Amino acid sequence: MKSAGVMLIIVITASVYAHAQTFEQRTSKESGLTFRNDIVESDTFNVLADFYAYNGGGVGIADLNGDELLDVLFTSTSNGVAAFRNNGNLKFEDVTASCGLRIDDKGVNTGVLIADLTGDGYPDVYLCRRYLPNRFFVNNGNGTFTDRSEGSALSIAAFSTSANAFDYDRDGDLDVFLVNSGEPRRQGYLNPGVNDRLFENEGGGRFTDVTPRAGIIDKGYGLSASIGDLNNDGWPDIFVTNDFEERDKIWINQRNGTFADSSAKAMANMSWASMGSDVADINGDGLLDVVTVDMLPRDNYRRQTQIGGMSIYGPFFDSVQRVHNALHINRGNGRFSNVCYIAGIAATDWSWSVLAQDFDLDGLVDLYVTNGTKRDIGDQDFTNNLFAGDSLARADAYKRMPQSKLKDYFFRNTGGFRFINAGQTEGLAQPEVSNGSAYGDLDNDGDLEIVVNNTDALATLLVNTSVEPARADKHWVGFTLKGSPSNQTAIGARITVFVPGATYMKEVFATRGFLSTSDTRPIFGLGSATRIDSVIVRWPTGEVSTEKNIPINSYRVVELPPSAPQWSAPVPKPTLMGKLRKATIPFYHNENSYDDFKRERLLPYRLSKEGPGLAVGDVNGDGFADVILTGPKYQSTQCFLQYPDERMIAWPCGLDYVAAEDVDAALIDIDGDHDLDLVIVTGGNEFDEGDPELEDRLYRNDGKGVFSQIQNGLPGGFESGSCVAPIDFDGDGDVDLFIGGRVVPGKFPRIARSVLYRNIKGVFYDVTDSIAPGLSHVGMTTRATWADIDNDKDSDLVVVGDWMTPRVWRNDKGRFSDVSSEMGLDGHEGLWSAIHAADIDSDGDMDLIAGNVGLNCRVTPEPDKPLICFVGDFDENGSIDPIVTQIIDGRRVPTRGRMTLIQHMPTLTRTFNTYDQYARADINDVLNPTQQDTAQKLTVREFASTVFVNDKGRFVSRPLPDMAQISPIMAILSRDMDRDGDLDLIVAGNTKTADSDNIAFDAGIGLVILNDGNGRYTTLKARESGFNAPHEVRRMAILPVPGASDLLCVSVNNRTPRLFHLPPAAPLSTPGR
Amino acid sequence: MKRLLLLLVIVAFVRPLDAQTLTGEEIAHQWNRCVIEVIMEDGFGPPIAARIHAYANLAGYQAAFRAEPGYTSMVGMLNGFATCPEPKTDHSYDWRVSAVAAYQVACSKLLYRTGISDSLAKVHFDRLSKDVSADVFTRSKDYGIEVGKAINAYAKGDGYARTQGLPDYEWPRCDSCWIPTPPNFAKPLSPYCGRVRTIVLSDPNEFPVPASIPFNTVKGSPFYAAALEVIEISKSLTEEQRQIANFWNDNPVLTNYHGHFIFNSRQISPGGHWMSIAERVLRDKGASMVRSMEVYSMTAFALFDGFTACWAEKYRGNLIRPVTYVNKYIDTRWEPMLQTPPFPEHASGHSTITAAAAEVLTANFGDVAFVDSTEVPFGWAPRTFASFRDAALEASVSRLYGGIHYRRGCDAGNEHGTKIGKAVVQRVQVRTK
Repeated sequence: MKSAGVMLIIVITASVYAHAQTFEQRTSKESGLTFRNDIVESDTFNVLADFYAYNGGGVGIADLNGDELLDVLFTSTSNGVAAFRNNGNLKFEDVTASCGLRIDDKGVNTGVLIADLTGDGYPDVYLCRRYLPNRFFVNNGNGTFTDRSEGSALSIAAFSTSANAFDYDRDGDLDVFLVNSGEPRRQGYLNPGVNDRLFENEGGGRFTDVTPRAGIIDKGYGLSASIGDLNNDGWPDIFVTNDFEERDKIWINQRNGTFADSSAKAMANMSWASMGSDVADINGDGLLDVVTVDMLPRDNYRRQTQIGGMSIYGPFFDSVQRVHNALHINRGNGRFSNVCYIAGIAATDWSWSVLAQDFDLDGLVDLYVTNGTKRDIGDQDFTNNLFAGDSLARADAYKRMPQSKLKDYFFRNTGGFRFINAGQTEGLAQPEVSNGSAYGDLDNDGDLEIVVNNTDALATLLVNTSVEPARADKHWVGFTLKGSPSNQTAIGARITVFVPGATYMKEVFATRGFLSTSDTRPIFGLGSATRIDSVIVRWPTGEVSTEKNIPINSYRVVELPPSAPQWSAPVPKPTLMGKLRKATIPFYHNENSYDDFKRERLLPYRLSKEGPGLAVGDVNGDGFADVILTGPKYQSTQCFLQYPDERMIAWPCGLDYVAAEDVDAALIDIDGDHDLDLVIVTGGNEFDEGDPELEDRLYRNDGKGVFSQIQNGLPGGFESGSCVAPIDFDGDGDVDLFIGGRVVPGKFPRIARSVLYRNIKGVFYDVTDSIAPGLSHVGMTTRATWADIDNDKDSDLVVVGDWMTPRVWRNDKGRFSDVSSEMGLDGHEGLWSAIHAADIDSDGDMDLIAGNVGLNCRVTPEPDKPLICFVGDFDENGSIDPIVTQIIDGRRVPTRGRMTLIQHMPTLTRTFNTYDQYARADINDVLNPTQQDTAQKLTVREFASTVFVNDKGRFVSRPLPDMAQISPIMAILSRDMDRDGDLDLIVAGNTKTADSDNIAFDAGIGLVILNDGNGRYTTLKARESGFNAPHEVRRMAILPVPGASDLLCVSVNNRTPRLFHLPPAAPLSTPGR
Repeated sequence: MKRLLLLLVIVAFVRPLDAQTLTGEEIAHQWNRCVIEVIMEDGFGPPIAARIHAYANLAGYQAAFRAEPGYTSMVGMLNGFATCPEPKTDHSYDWRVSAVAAYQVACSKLLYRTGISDSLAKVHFDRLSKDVSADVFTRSKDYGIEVGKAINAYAKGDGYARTQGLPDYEWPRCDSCWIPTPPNFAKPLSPYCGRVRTIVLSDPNEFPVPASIPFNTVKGSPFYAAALEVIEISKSLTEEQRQIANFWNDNPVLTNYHGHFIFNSRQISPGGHWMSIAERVLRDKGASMVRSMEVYSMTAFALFDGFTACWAEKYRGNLIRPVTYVNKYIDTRWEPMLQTPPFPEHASGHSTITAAAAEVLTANFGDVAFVDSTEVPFGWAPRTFASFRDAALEASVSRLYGGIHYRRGCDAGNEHGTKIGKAVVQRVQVRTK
């Protein structure tokens, strides 16, 4: 681990230093881009009168006059449009007065779209406006424009934000999608935004509003739209960001002139106040991903003083939205995974624009984010301490509000979806309020410049210096596409570049980021490649052409061939797991609604959603394996019998107890009568200590699949449990049990008792304290398994749980002792949620695969910077106060915000009068030394899901690949999926139990991880594995089917279980759960 | 912050510097004012604010009542108030010093922003130390601290701290039930307040609250008609009625929405409003120190018991607010003029505590006309009243004008509060003659 870590650091460090600075800032004096967006406030125009008053202006980059040099437009909040002609050598001339882009009023301008909407080969300008009708300027063919707004359908007043051009119906001309916000609103929920619009080009720039016909209904406050073929069907789809409580939308093109929103299914979570967005293949897998920006501050001080009072309650609040940027990785099966935290890009403060491009030409897509706000309306001390009758009642109150100039962020992609914040090394030192931004190769040298529209300051020009003679390592290729007559820049084309060892894909669209139009020429960084194998262009109307012999380091003109074959979607390859034809389990786990946070406000996560448990076995003795799924409170545990043809039928097996929250079950023969009896473990957090519903239950099978309860059958199990692990640990031929204890309900983190039962003639005896002293309070357990870890032919116990290290209890002739330390497991405190034992490296001993919460978290510990939870009744009011802390900049600070903390411990208001005081505080300000000393302390050092390789009795930890770290892993199986002779892994998880300051941990969709036998793991894409297990997976088990391939059964919290066909079992044995 | 400094300047310097000595009554008035202001800074909800007024003023009274003849201790008069330290009989005291010390100690546990109360204590001590010999000063201060601690111990026993450790309140779900209200859908305020020990009433339910109109959604039913009346009044408000609604709004934390800009504005709480009226009258009458402390204490007891009793009823009945009922059954877009405070409707808390406080003041001063300029700092012009009861009736009906209560809720509160006020007057009698 250590050497791997050091290696990783070296690699990362090396990659940082291998990059010289990408951008150099060029002054306006040198460039001539003398534009400023001065937002002049007045008593009728300010953030109180209109909360979108400071959204700023956009940037348009395109060759307006046909001289093959990109010109630049800026929109000004209240001063129309400014135009700058590119005279070459990065020198620009203000041609606003002569170009005809004339706005005579002081109305608020927003986005600018530059595209050939008339189909005459010259780019036109469509200007969006907040209150007044939008304006449509047609290019006269020479870079001057004529206002053709009058009578145009495009000229509507709709509180428009920005517009995109695309050929949605593939009829050869460019249609327009218009994003609209809405009027200023006070009561939040009472007035919806203005519906977005779709305009069809009837030819020659005459547009018709086809919104209703297209099925687009979105009354959110839209702030941007990005277009791309998100589902790889050859038709452009639309992603719309919506501010406030309305979800972002994914309008999937139905290929018949209509669109359907798939966001509810496609995105498990998203940004709350989504502003700018972009669509690009960010992780290089041939699928377009989506990135959005929001307003989560990056540093702790601003996070604590800006967020926390932000109202996320209300009638439309649904918990899928949180304040953070989102990086939605396209999983290729209609679903996206938001990996913003593991990517390192979640927080860029009050952000407006994001541009996704390979700015440094290393073959990986980077991100550029603008941010800042003219008036800092998030400052909690300012907003919480105003007095009625004070000056806010006056119209000029805005003048007292603070400003937030912030530094932009440049995130350099370091591979996959990992980024480093390279802003500091990129000369982005000048903090500004920066809004719209666009990129373009302004000097035609092969790399992309960035132009930023700043509020109350001169525009920024960042000159890209990646292509310089001195940098021979930067290889690139650029394309100028020549499309059909009415869409000559080929907007909508997809271009794929094949180089040895890599494939790059881009699509041509004009509107990107926020309010802005970027260079439509695709430019590819080629990394280390020095040769291009081939280039495939899929044209907007579906033709496909292939180019070969393309030189590097130059622009290449590619024309739509007169006749070319139509693209057709590739026939999908068979997946490893088969889709099911018939089998479903008619069970819907209906989790009872219980909000743990109402009783335990500082709880780091809910403990009441841990089911359903899953057990597989032949219940009725007919030779078919059946399924038991445990019920939450108010729903009984149920039995489903397997019938021929993979049918699963509900079977009234005598279980009707609904009062308890059953979380796990096992089918075992307790009495040696050759039928399977049933153990049910109860858990949950919605009870009180000592409640009868917490009693674990034992049932005897009558041999025909009907169970009857054995009273007091599990005499030690009266606390909230987590799991059952059966085994014959004493080798006497009957099955014994371990039942894990979770937590005392309502008293986090008090440990519930774990119990070891010995089976003596069909009766279980609690032998924990006599043969395994200490095991009863091993921790807040989640899962346990038995395996012969020390190869002495008996079964040892492995237990995992929260705020603890994985524990191995060695079996020495029927007595157990904790040997975790000597096996090297110290220091691995995690929130372990799954454990599986298997010989993953085929060396003859058992390794451990352990599921953890993963790395896609707002707060992630490091081995030397653990999270510590201080526990006590610090305010002496009878409730437990668990205070989770982290290390930031060398100081230990609480993870939660002031609002949450003082809601639970009101007397802390005395210490922290202001958010400012709290943001500066550390744990010593919250708890005095005595309180800290006497507090119970829990520790977590790592969040990565990990393989612990058994190396001659000591475990060596190896984290699973990044894609397995994007969400918690709750269930793990091993099986030779690719029949190469070693065990591969199937993992799944997610949990929507984290506190509201955190992300919903639901980015996962399940994963098949292939093992190459040499300790290297590769994750399969969903379209390769066929495995699709979204939502909150709790358990997995293999269900044998007589005469057919096995089924994989996945239990899902608050959902129906899922079944998959597994590939035929390889000769290698599967240890099972 | 600016406002805090302003407050200190006004409270601590302007008046004392005018006077030759810092009088006892000035001390009483300034501490009452300090508590009102810090409550606003701290953002306490109205019931808890009344609790603070009660115990802070009790501390002052208990430390200083010996300054004037004819006053007795409140020990034995208040629920659970069994003991309070006695001064040494053969030593002399300056009771002003004791009062300041007691106020400060009580405030240190009742308030959050104790920097303000500590500053006021320092200013008072500095001035008094010039009038009083060192040993008397020290003795008086030590005694005041003891009294303050005794009041804190008494307050601690009322069960309030325990209510803070309880789980969030789960409001019942039914057609007639209260649910969180727009625009901010806040969690219910002080749901367990009705479990806190009352100071004077034998228990919060001693006086029954007149019943609400039976819930009904049928057009033409009395309940429907009551809701209809709320809308009709809201649509035909006169300028005078608007002023009345605003004047008595007294919503301590108003949430204002401007897109992402959401800010809270603070104003005085209903209890603070009546403590201000008490100050106005005491100053007008030139009341002495102990007399002032007596009236402040009794007024605060009436407020606190009024809130406690009213809250017990609110969370027992859990009646739906007009905005919810109207939006659901009559007019989906109707908004009340005032922001609906986050707790059930029946009965009106403001009506209850206002009537209770008015009874206390009437018993002490009779039907006197007065000018109430409490709301001037919050932008509302002074109003003149012929009597405290007149003011109470106006405050009560203001909730109907504001669209946040049915008429029945206002009337029931007024009736209930009047009984509570009379009980306080009858049971807290500290003057021997």
